[in-house]
Parts: sequence; C-alpha cells; structure tokens
Amino acid sequence: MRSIIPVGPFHPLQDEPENFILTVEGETVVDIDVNIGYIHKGIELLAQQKTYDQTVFLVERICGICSITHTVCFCNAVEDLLKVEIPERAKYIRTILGEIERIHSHLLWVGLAGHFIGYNTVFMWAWKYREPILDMMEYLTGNRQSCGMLKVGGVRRDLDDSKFPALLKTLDEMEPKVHMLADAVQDDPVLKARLAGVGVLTKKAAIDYCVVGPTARASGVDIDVRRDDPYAAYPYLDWNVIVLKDGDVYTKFLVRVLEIFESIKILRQAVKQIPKGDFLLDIKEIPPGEGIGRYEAPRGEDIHYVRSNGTNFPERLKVRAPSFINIPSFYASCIGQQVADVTITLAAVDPCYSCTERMISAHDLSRQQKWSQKDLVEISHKKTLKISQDLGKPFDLPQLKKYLLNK
Amino acid sequence: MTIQEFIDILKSKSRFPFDVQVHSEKRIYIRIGRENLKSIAYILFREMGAKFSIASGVHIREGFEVLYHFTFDKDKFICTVRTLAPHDDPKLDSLVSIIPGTTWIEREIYDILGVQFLGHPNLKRLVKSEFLSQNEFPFRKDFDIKKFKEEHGLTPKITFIEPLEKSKRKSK
Repeated sequence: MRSIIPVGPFHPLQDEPENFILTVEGETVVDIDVNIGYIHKGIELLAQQKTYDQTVFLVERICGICSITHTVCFCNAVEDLLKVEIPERAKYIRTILGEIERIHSHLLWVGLAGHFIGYNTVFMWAWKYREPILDMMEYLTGNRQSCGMLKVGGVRRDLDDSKFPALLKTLDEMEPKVHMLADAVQDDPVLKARLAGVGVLTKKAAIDYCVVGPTARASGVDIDVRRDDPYAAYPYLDWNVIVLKDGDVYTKFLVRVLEIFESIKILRQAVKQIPKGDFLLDIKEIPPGEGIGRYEAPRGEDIHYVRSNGTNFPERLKVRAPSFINIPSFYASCIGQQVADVTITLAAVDPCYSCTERMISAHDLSRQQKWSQKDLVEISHKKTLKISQDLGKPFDLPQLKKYLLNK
Repeated sequence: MTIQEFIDILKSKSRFPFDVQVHSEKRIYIRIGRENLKSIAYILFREMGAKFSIASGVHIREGFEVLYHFTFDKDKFICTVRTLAPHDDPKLDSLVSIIPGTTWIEREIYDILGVQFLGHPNLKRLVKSEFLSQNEFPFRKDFDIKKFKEEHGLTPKITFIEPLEKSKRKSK
C-alpha cells in the first residue's frame, strides 16, 4: 500500500521553506517530488533595473552564506565580457575572502549534519570553531557577512597587511580543533553506522544529473572550477582537489572536512605570497556583449551569465546557484531509502539557506532594556572595534579567546 | 583539446550547419537551428563528455533565445549553444531524455518566458508566484511590472509624516 508524506513548506529542521512530497511503501521511499519557489525574490528581474555597480550589492544578497561567492562570480562574468585581467593583489584578496567563506560554510554544514541526525555534540563543536573564523572576516573586512568588498575590476577596499598575522594565528588555533572533530567523528562507530551507505549517489547518476561541488566529488567525479577554469589566484597556489568514491553521506562529510584543511593550506600560502600594489582597475564603460563567470562556491560550481546592451544596466543576468542543480539529484539518491534516512540525505547536498533576516528590535535577557536597530548597529561597531583592538597587537590571541568566553 | 580541435571534431560528427563565434580562449558560442538541438546535445553530452551547466532564456527582438551552457572541465572551456524559438511558435525540444539534469531549468524557462518544451515529462510551475496567471510571463519585454504591482496592491503606500516642529507648535 502506498501512502504520501508531505514534508514542509515549513521544515521542522531546515530554516528554508521547501516542500518534499514523499511517496512511501511501508518504510521505503518509492517516489519523491520537490516543490520550491516559496522565497523566490525576483533578483534576476531586479538586476535589469540596476546599474552594474548596484548589481554587485544586489547579488551579494542572494544568499546569506555565500555572499562572496555570488559577487566574485558576477565580477568574473563582467570581466569576461570586458576581457580584462584584474590586478594581482585583487586576485589574492578575492582568494583569501573566498577561502575564509569556504571554511565557515563547511563547518556550518558539518554542524547541521550532526544536528539532523540528533548528534548535537558535533553541532556545538563545529559551530564553536566556526565563530573565530567569522570574527576574522569581521576583523579583515568590517562585517561577518555581506562585507561589500567586491567591485567589477578588482576589490573596493584594500586589506591591511598588518592584520594577516592574526589570521594565521587563528588558523593555527583552529586546525588542531578541526582535526580533533574529524578524528572523533571518524572513530565513532554509531555515526559510521548511521551515515555510511546512506543516500548513495552513484557516479553515473552524478554525471547524468550534472551535480557539482562536494556532492559530485564524493561520488568520484573529478571537477573543481578552481582548477578547471582558474580565476583569482588559484593557479599560483599549491593545493589538491579532494575526490572520494563512495557517494554516501559519510563520504560527503569526509570531503567537506578534508576541504577545510585544503582551504587552510591555501590561506597560509596566499597570505605569504600576496604582492603589494594596485587593487582596482578603472573601468569606464561596458560595451555590448555577453560574458560567463564561474566560481567554486562551498556548495559547488556557481555560474553567472551576463548580457550587456551597451547601456549602464545589464540586459539579462542569469544566476545558477549550485543547489539548483544539486537538489534534483534527490530523485536518484532518495528512492529506495528508509524514511528516517531521507532527512539526512536531503541535507547532504547542503541546500542553501538563501534567506537571512536582520533584527529590528531586541530585548536583553532581563527584559529591562529594549534595543532599536540603531543601538544594535552601535553595539556591532563597538564589537568590531574591540576585536580589531584585541587582535591588533601581534601574538595576543588569548585575548580573543577570553573575549569569546566572556561574551 | 583546444577550441580549434573541438570545432573540427564537432564538424566531422554533426550533419547540420552551425555558426561559430569564438569569444576568447575559454568561451565559445555556437548558433544552431532549433530542429538540431537534440542531436547537438547528444553529441556534446554523451559522446564528447561535456557537463551541462545551465540554460538561460532571453527575450530578444526575433523571439526567445535559449542558451545552453556546456562546460568541458578537462579542457577548460565553455561551449554555449544558442538557439531561437520564434514569437509565433515558442516551442523547443526537451532535452530531459538525454540530460536528466535539465528537468528544472526547462520548467523555469517555461515558467518565466513561456517557452514550451516538447516531450518534457512534468512541465509545470517552478518558481513563479501564484499571483501571475498561466499567460503572464515576467521576463518578456512586454510585461508591465508597474501595472502588475498596481493590480495586486504591491505598490508601496507612501504616507507623509508631519514635520516635528509643526506638531510641537500645535501642542503649545
């Protein structure tokens, strides 16, 4: 006998509204249908009414987590249209920001994966280790997310060379902790029994559904845009593409954890090699034509197509986020699974939570004081200032630790 | 495989005409007639091992241009196949039987531009709002955003606040 289980649009675990309709026979899933479109924001249409400079800020707001991803990808597309090479320093800055984003995005997924299978220790570990790296982002650029650093032709602001030692120190502190987390998870027989062999996406299905990123690399498909269509400073750096074979959730977990270490490796080299000099090209006007930009986002290949008609406004902007092509692979990976395993299989491609909201008013815990948005911005500024003061002195990271503990 | 070699191989394999425009070392654009879409997709995806990345639909003067972006990851370039569905008959062959990964993007283009994909197993809405009827397509150039907003009460209501000094004077 067949019965239908609807999950969502308000998913009990995931923040993003999406609707899964599972057709089950007993406990086994025989068919799945995915409905999206609940948070369609019309960004592609909106981009046609904005100038190129404004569109950079618009695409930054496509996703709350991949804010560097979409901006660099859009800049790549317009630079492909213009056929220009950006200055070396800008390339390195883009690399550094992108890799910081990759580390915190992968840690976010590791935490959420633990949360989805009811292993909250992993969730708390991963999110605790993610916090210093987000603070590093704030220290370098002024904001944890959506930092507004990118511009067509380079970067909008320069990074301060004196801030890099603190970044290296944070990475040194973080690496053994992530090692500990990875080892603990790999040694745990319960986790292995829960994740190994679940939600297998075969290599053939991965190629047919054209999946990208860690989802594809866990199934043995050797693709990585950073190597295959090099942008930014990746050709000058030494790093590896992680490719594993099994295609189950456990392998996807391993790929992401190993990529964190590769990112740390890239960051160390980039900070060491970054040249001094100009960081922004002067671009006067954009001629008619079309360009395609690619970027290896934490979730996979991101691709933007830009068509210009010679005016100040793009005629068409097509955005393909990695989740758009990864989510239909559920048709291949979920069928034949148990209902209980489907939750983690659906989460395994790291579907992107594209909506984050900012608070407008907030109470403190004693319910005495009410903060307006202005106050919150002020508090945020104070925090940034404090982080920069604490980290400004070299070899003074214990202060950041103390600060994070006292928070 | 360089781009020139790629063009030669494609010419030997295909039995239909196509125009080539080389944009740079990494980007190449090919224009074909819509009746040859399925055969070029078969050659690129099944025989030459390309990865289908995405398709973009654009409304231009002659009709609806749909661009299929195929990436050759080992050879480091993108081949974009452009094809045209005219205004009076906006129909294209669906590629789902060759490339399962095109399922969603064909639904999206059908949704926002109104191009019919013949042979698609499940051609229904993907992202379009329920405000919009079956015949309204927001990415067509004749779509009136202003009128749509007014009809559905989506225009922001502007209210004027009295200047502070004036209200103070009144209270005195």
